[in-house]
Amino acid sequence: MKNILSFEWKLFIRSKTEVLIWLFMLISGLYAIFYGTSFQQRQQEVVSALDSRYNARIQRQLSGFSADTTTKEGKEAYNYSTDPFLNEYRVGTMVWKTPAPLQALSIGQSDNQPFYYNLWVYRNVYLSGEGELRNPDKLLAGNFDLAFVFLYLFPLLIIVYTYSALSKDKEAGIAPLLVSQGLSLRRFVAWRLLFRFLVVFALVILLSLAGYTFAKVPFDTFVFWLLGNALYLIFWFSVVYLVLSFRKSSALSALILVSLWVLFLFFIPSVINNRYRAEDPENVHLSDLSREYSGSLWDLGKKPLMDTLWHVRPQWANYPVKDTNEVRSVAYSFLNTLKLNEEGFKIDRDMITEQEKLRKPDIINPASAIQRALNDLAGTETDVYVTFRKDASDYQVKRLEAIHDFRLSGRRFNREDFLSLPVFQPTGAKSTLSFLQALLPAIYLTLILLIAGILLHRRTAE
Amino acid sequence: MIQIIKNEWINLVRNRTALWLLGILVVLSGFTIGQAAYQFKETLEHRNQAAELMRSRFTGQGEVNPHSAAHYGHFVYKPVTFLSILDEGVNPFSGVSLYLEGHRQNEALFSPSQQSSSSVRFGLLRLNLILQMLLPLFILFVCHNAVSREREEQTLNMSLSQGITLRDLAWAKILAYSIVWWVLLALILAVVWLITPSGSDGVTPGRVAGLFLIYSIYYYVITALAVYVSARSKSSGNALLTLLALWVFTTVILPKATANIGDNLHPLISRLDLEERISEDNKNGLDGHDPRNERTVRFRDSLMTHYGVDSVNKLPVNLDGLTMQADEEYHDIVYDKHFDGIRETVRKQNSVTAWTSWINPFAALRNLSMSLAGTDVYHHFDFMKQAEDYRRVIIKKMNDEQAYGGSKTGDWDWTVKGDFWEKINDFSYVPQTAGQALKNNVPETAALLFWLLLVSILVHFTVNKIKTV
Repeated sequence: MKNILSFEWKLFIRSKTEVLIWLFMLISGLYAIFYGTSFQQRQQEVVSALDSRYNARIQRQLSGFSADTTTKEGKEAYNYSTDPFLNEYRVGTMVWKTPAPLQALSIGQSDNQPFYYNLWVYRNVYLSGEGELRNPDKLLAGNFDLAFVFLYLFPLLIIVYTYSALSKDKEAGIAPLLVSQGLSLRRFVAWRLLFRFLVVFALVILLSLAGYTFAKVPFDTFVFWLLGNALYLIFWFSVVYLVLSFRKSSALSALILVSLWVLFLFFIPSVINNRYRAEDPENVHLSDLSREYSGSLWDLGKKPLMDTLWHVRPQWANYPVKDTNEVRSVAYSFLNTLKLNEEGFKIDRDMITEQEKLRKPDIINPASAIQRALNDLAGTETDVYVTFRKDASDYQVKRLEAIHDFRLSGRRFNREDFLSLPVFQPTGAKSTLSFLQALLPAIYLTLILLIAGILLHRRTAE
Repeated sequence: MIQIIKNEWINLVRNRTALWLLGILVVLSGFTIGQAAYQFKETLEHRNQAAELMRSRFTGQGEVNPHSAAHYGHFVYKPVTFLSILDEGVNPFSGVSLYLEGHRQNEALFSPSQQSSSSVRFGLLRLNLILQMLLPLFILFVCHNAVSREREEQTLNMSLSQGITLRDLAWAKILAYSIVWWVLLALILAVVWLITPSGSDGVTPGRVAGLFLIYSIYYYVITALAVYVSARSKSSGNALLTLLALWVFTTVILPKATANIGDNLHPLISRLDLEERISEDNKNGLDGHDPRNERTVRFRDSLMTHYGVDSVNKLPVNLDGLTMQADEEYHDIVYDKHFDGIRETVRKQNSVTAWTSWINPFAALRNLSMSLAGTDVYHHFDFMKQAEDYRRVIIKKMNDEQAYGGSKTGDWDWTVKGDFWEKINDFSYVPQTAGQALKNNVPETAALLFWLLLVSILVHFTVNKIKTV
């Protein structure tokens, strides 16, 4: 074994092509880390800007409570702080999702879905086109992140390193020499593949460590990341091991392996994607509601409008409301938000259902299983976005309840009231159990391939 | 030459693996066309129903104040072109509906990819996956041993001893294979053309012919390259590996890498900064020294001077309507300034990939295919532009009605007659012609022609210099 490994090492470092390809992958990986971290940094800068501007607005509102009301400016500042509606207008409540460190290595859908929302009383998160400006062409091309390098390019590296692991000795006429020395070709191939695995895995570790350092990934997340990628490598080595058992020529083996690569990374996922069609892709119902429901609320008379509002929040019925315009504004904002959220939650459920449906065929495609698992780990999968959006809409309702309560009761804010308004508390991160569960299909398929490979190698050896 | 072409066809027919693969590709293409056409029909119905519903809401809003109606707004939907069954382009990544309202421009909402899991990033099975990735891979598989096989079987020198040159042989093989791909392509496009629903926007003979032309050139280029590499390679195995490496590099690695480099080189402004700049320009004027309040006062005074009155109450028109329209028009200029900048940044980002067409013919094919199918980013921009123009028209009509329809300044309860809305034309997107679309793809078009010329010159002038033993 030691001899084989040292022989393979010498072969490897003498092969300029193999070393160059290794270095090419290293550079690709480093660029991917650079791209991923710069992308994450841009999102982080936006989050920091949101945070600092939001805090500045809150400080400004706080200072308004102690403004000198003998001056015109002071009176206005005081009014803008103590009036619940005007206060909220000036605060411009925003919520955001801070990018997780691993996002830099697995961007997933985080470049495509909003990561902050403006919760102004007349806005609705489900109708908000907010999110960063995006170039659709860039979205179509996808991200050159480390997950892409590992998922798409490393299988090619494995193919280049292994397609002739068995046939090249035959084609060079040295296989009989090896056999005559009492060496089992089957074992020889196994050791050769092990060596190649170590060479590739070393690169995975090296790049992951670089990513871990630059993106400041937590250690436990890093371990799971490595585990997922190691499994993916083992899967591809199992594929190679199986294909080599067919004992075809080097060129044909390479063609079969590249075809399998196309199958796993392009064909199967695209066929599966074709199967899923959203019921209302244009969200016509939501759009129609946004226009018609708000219009119907606006057109309602005072009495039916108040009755509708008291029906959803009976505690507000006890207030001696005098200002008709105030009720109209509160009802319009609150009832509209509840109604649109109701429709929005259906969209959320559809998105989660789609994700679950698309997860099912992972058993035949470890590439998508691992991609999803890595995205889950990085917090860049759709369910994380859906959770964030739901949290944002729930928070908007809580905040509206608090503000409207003051408006309807005719009370004004004081400093303590303002400070005790609900704060955004996003739902916690998902458990790592789901990560391991997401890997299961890949584990099963890898085991099946390995067993099939071993059996076929035995048969062909006989 | 004709005999060699016939021989190549006979060899192709005898190659069972190739025939099987070709058969699979043909069946797959048929299946993909059928499924995509069915999905297109569904999408078209959805969009038409949605557009009709929104139009009926708009025209049926009855007697309302025009300014309230501007706030209720109107939804328009992005039309789908039948050629998207061939190449869906950026459609999954761009919004499908646009909310048009007074005072502000919105972004297109509900892009299919935004509502999907990360699986969407693997793409959909569309003809472009077959025509741009799988068929070229098949071409490489078939052509990699075009010359090397003859060398390995030691029939090459026999052929050459009969008086033909290696160049003639290479040309004959290139032509033989290219004709097969062209026929296959023509059949696929003919099926697409034949099943195109009558009256489909965006499916013109020019676009279909353009698609045939670009794919034909691309297949010719890679066939010629494959034959050339085959002639130069010591063995068929080496030729196949070289070609596979080139295929992976040009089809998978380069397009993604260049799109990302474009993003790094020309980053888009953050929305936060954009909104701040727009707000600032609206508030303090485009030059920073023309505050909104002063603009409003100036406008009011000019109006009173025009009508020769000393008070807004004496104006024979509704000042609110005219002020809102003036404000809209100023805001439009601000919007155009900023969004033209954004479109320019996107163009710069995309130009990185476009210019790599000179070293990667796949990049040229990819962009030209989307462009001719009417599904590239510039078609999306064109839809947004036409929808925005429509927004300006309807908002102006509402403001004008408020101003000249008989209401008085400050009378926000005044309403238009119920039939007013019917007089406003529906939004109708006018598709670009193929020529207009291709104006955005000059580097790609030139590069594809360059590749056509380059491989032809390469084969014609250098193949004979290759050692045949």
